[in-house]
Amino acid sequence: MMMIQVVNDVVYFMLLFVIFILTFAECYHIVQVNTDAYGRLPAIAALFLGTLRSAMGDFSLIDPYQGFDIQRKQKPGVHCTDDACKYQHSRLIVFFTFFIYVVCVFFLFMIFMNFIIAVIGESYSKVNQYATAHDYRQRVIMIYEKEIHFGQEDFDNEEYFPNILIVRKKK
Amino acid sequence: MQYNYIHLDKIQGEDKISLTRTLKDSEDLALFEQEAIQIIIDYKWETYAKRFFLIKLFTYAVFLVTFFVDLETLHGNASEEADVHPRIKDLPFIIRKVICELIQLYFLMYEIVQFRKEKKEYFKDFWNYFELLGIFLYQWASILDITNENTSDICRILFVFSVMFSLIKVLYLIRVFR
Repeated sequence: MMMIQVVNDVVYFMLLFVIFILTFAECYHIVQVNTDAYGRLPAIAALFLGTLRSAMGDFSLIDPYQGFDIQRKQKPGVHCTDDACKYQHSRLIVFFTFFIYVVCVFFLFMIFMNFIIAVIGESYSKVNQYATAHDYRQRVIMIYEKEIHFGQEDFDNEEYFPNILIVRKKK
Repeated sequence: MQYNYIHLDKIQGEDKISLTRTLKDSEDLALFEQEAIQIIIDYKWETYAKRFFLIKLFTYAVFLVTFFVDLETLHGNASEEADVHPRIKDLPFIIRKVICELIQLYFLMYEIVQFRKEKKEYFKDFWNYFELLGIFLYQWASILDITNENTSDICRILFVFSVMFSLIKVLYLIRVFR
């Protein structure tokens, strides 16, 4: 029940988060970031996952050996001398991809991620404030669930439904 | 020493269930911070509701253990070198399925009784939808599992969903403990 409350509180935030990730994934898509590691997934879905990973602090979106600067597979017998033959993207695009990457990490990981944690923390403490009351409410719901299964003899049971409750308290 | 008297007969009146119904429908959380209300709830909880839900939780735990053991055998004998392992349908398989089916049937009966008592109210609580959907998905998956020789893709997906729904159900039942 606490969880539902917290999820309710962050749902719009999550929506915004998804929009942000989609935007950056689309940016990566435009500069044709390599998605071979994701196998048969369509490029935009793979990039969405990649951006989500980088938002969570897993930066393996970049190939550890080549970064965004992917080298072409060399054909046997052909010796490349110029960049266009050796690399997939031009120098400008590679620089630009790294620029997008830094912006993406800054916004998604550093700002957004901490925002979400803060919102969840706040929502949790708000719920926690009324934890006992929430608890009793849940119990009542459960008691009701039990009581609808009662027959007349249960309702007449003096132990289940006493006429008076006496509570002794130590001062 | 202080004695508090709570005249339950005057509070609950003739229709004894009305007290819990009113409390249940109340949106005001401050109400549940009242000491008298807490005492009434505690009394009812300890007298009859707690044991009932503990039994329910225990029954579901038995189901879950059997279900998970059953799922472990889903992919047949993995040591054999083949792409598709036919499902082994021996006596333990039948026993596991029977236990699971019986417990699921018990929970379905419980839901039906609850529906007949509550009528329209029943569909206002979204937990009930989850409960029905969970039972339905499990039944669908296990029928596919029993009738087919190999586990199909649909069957696997359905099993994954029913495992997820079982998590929701456990969360629902675990409310017995604070």
